[in-house]
Amino acid sequence: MSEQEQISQLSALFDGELPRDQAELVIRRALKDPALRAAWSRYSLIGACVRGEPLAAALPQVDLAARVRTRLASEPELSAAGKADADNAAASANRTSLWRRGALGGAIAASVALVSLVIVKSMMPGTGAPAELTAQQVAPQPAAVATVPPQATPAPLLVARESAPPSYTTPVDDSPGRRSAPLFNYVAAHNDVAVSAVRLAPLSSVMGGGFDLTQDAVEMSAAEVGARR
Amino acid sequence: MAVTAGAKMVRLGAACLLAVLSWPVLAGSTDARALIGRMNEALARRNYDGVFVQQIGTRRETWRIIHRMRDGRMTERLISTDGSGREFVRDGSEAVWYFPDRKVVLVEQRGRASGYITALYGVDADTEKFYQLRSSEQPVRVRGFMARLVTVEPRDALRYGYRYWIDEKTSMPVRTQLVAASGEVIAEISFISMALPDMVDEDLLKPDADTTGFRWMRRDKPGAPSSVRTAFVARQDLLPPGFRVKSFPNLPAAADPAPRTRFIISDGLAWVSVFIEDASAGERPGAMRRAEGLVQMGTTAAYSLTAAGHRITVVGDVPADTVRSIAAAIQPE
Amino acid sequence: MSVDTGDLGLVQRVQKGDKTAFDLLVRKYQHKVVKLVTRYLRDPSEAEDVAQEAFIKAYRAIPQFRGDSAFYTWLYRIAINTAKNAIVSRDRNPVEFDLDMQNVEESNSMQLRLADSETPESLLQTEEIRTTVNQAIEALPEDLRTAIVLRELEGLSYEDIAQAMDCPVGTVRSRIFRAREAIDRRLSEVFEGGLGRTEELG
Repeated sequence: MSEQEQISQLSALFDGELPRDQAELVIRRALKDPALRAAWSRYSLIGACVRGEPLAAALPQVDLAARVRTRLASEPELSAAGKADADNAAASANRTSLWRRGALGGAIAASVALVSLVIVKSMMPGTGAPAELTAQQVAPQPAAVATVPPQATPAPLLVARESAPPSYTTPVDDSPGRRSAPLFNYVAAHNDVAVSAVRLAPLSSVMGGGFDLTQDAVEMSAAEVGARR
Repeated sequence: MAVTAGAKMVRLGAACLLAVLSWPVLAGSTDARALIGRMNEALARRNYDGVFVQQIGTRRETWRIIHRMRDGRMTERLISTDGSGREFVRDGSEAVWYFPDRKVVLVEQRGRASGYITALYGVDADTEKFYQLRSSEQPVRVRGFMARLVTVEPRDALRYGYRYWIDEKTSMPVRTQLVAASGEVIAEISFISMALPDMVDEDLLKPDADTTGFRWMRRDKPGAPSSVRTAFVARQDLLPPGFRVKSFPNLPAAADPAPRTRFIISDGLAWVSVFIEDASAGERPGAMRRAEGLVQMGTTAAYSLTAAGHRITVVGDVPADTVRSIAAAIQPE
Repeated sequence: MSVDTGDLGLVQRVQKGDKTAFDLLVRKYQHKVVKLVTRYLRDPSEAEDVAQEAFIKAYRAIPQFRGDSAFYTWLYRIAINTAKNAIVSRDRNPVEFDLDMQNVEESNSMQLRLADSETPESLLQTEEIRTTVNQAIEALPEDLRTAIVLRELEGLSYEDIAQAMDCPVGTVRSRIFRAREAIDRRLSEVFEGGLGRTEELG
């Protein structure tokens, strides 16, 4: 079977769509081949990106799966008789405070958190484009999509644990234009009372362009925001 | 499936997601009204969780919707799929927009609770004067759903028509179209998948975005106007055929539905709001801004003009010309 | 949705003692679990700690997994419980930021680690990865993009996607695979040698 065919089976296996007999073969191959396992990880990564989810540190050095692998190496082998042991082990794990950062995994995570503060400082809003980053950016962004750089306030090194939030892309149609901004209030009032069927608007053009909902909006006080949480 | 005479086949782009349908044989209206009734009930009562594609003109968007009706209270969450992380959560009459790409949260208080997928209210014996109701005898296949097609075809070009593909099993509208009298499809909302769970976990209705560091903004309903004693009426003889000034049996008698609305005009299915303000009202803080001419916002048309020192704004889910005609029917007493 | 034969096959191997099989499950669900746990623990590093614990707990409890539910459903519950427990124990021990001796020493050692590690890059790269993947998806031909989005965003089965796209199941499988390949190619252009293409560490 060609490598192409093998990897395509891996893709189907990842989706749980490979027939049982073929699944066995592919699993066996993947268990032996690190390249297949790496491709498998990337499928998971792609899915997370499509869903706009935070990535569980995708790089090998701080990859969550790698950390679990390390922990697993020191776990006892499983056996049916090990059920009682498993229960005890689980119970003691709960008693250990995770927040002391004594465990190996914890220490690495903490340093990532501290490091991210440093990064975040250098990305303070100013001229808008974080110049330090552009050297790292590879391909020119397509004109239609803009990635807004994360902004955050700096904090004392020891205490704060801010890290860069996931990046979101602003939808294409948010380009400002001379559109129907002033009328939105009327449409909103109309929608409040009218029971029209099939009343649709391009949701993704809300905020920015013709549908900026934030006009006529007032800033909420910290107390108001706090009351909501 | 036979094709109706003068079949109005439409294409919405080349995307295979919006495939051309062949039209089934359409029967008379009794069935159609019953189907619409069942659909409205399903929309009012059921929980649903699905992904839909919405197309307005050439603008296409895909959203996930999670809708819960529990103890008479509606909660709904719409999640974007375009990478912006944007979400919209409605709980009762409060609506909250999350814009993670802009780090803003916007809270809106609305007059009433309503879901994004709207029902078709107002179909009664009078409807047939201006709309022809028909339904398919046989179900048609729509993307994995088996649905009965219900068409509400306008008898003139003053109003829009509707097509509903109503799922046989659940009576949910798996595809809905807003159609011009010419047959041109103005907008469509079509479900790729839909589940109707008995229960919706609270977690599913919470937004994903971490709002730490976001700006929180509030948008209230427009404030009460100064007392504008309007000396305007909607001239019945000038209103387009079928459109009448309506009152709202659902609202408490004393409530002013929206502070500046003076008239609500409808032909039973389509709704139009008329606002009348003092022409100098635009300068007051919190006052509605001035509008200009005719503007189309999604499927809603809005038209504004100045007459006798007053600003008249007409907003409705009807063709642009109808909005203009209605505006022209608003006259000083 | 039909049974995920892949997950089942892997679970059975783990139950027989194959840890690499569990590694495949971790790779598949790591982002989902982190995302889930992040709802309870906002801090990303705490969330990852808890996610790691959740996987270890799942590994230990796997002998009891009978296949009555999907593996991910079972894992999901374990992850939520782990997260809730973590919050409870954290609230009882609000001492992360106190300045007793142990923490002062730890913080010193953290600073050392900061100086000699190359992790500043890793955080930037996570966002670059996302950008690269998103761009690659945007650049896909429509049929490939639709297929991968329906699969990954809504989790539709190949059968459902076939209905939605009006094409055979085999075509769906091929489109999804080709979409992943195209995105993968882009990733390898951008991160040549990175992303575990060479060898596994740890």
